[in-house]
Amino acid sequence: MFRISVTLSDDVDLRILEEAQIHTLKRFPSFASRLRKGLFWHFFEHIDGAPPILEDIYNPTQPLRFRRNRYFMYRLLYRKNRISAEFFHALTDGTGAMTFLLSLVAEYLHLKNGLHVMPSKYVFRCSDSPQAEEYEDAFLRYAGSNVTGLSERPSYRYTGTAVPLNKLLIISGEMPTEALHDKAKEYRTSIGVFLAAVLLYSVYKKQKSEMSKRALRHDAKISLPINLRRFFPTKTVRNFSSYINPGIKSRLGDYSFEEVLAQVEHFMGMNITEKELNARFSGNVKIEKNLLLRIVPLFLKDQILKIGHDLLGNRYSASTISNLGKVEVDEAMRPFITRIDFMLGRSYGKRSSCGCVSYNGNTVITFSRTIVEADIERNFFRQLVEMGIPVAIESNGRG
Amino acid sequence: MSYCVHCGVKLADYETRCPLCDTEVLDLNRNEANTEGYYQGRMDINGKKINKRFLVMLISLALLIPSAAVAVIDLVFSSGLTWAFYVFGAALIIWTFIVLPIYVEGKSPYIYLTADLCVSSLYILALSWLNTSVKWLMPVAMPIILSAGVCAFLIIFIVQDKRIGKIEKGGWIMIVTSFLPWAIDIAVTHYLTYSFIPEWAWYVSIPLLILGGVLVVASRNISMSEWIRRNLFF
Repeated sequence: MFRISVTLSDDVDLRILEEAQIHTLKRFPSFASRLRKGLFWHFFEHIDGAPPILEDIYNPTQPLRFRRNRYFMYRLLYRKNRISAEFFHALTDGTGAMTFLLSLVAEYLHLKNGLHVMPSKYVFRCSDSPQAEEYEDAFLRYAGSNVTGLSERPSYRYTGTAVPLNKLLIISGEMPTEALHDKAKEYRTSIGVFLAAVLLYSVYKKQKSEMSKRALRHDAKISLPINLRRFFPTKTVRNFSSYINPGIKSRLGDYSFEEVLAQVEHFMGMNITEKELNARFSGNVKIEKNLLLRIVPLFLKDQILKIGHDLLGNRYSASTISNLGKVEVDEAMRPFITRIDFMLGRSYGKRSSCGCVSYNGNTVITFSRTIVEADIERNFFRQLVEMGIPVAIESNGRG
Repeated sequence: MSYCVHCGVKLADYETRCPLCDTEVLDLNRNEANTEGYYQGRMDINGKKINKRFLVMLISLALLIPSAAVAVIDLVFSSGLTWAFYVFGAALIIWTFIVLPIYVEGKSPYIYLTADLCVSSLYILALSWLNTSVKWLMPVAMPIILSAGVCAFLIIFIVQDKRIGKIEKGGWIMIVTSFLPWAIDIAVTHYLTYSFIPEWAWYVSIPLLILGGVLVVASRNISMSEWIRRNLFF
């Protein structure tokens, strides 16, 4: 699960939001679907209606209870002047979710204030008809025959005092995008690479602080989701993302921030290429198309994948940083939106994850964690403050 | 707005401690009025998720292991499956009563009840076929099981009826239940004396019938039903 919130300049009118949601679902048919179990595969099935719009919650990204949510794979929440949507990752990725939510907000503003918003990267006009490309499975479209193996070294992982299952601790830091941009420019890199390096350095500091050879035995690694639309053009709002795991070999000696940044930058440069990414997701598609695996009944596949995920799924990174980048909206819409937040949900293997989004000159970096100790968050934000970037912090408590 | 003296970050007005290092915020000029946090709201309580499939597998295994053990013992000592069938049948009944509603969740209670009734009746049939020396199974046990099933069907129907109140429901359940002792008494008496006249069921059924009737009548009398509701803390 992950969550995107849009804060408006005025309080939300629930009745209009409900109407806007119905219009938006007609424009985004892939969002009006439920996950069904077949004999061999899970599949999506179109459903009518709309999920209930609920009052926002203190503990976001709780697992979706499908029946309670009328079987939709996202839920819509509101509180005062904020509209939030939480999405099941099988339905869409960050870009698709942002497009859906901003289109919903545009429709809401159209119904409430008669605002006419021009279609843009993140806003589809609800009066237009949906195009087939918008809900295609782009993985199938672009999958090639060359594949790469997924074998890599496991990562150092940290732990702490677990919070109850229905809690998620959040710390978000808001900072001027300009300051962040200037600092990244000083290091001759982009904001995305810079923030990834700060997070990896924070994980590395935590690893060092454990003062044991056992902790230093593994590489410090983080996971970076990649938006594949940059390399494989598609209008799809369905999930079309991959990831890479940059890291450093902690056992080789002490690293400075500059060294970590260089490692991240080079790793990203080598791995975020059309060919590398294609080979990576083509491997998954190849497995999906394998005739032998196709005829294995779903309940067996589910159990095998579950065991595989439990054993291997979270071994290769200590944390995740997902950067949606700079979100631009139509000039007419801008006065009505004051802030956008992006947050990743609970991960059972990784103790904290981080979502970033920039809007209207501000960048909001939101950490969500499942342990009481906020060591990574402290290292991360202190690092930014030490570099001269002003950070304003908000949280939902310390567990 | 305050700053954390250790982390150097700006803190929201409602933060009394730094979320990063837990240092207490000491700011005499803190705006107490602006104490509502960005993440405040209702708590979404999903409850602890029970792994249904695991539970079903666990109970099924717990029933399967003794059944298999019994089958092996029976085969070794009786050179064939004889009394092991009693254990299989009992395990199947327990499975149908407990596991089926857990596994096939959310279906009509009539479906579960029909399954329970079928399995129980089949068990009695099988027992009487396997053990011809026990004569009371078909004339006594079978009618009792079927009467109990009919009673249960009627009780579910009453409980699910949204038009009637709690007190009236209680009254109708008592009236329906009052017929069960009669069915048991008739089955037992007929088996022993070949008579269809009940012997002891009157002492149980008639008070139940009267009490049920009073509750049904009282529920339709507003002041009386209020008095009962108050006294029973409904």
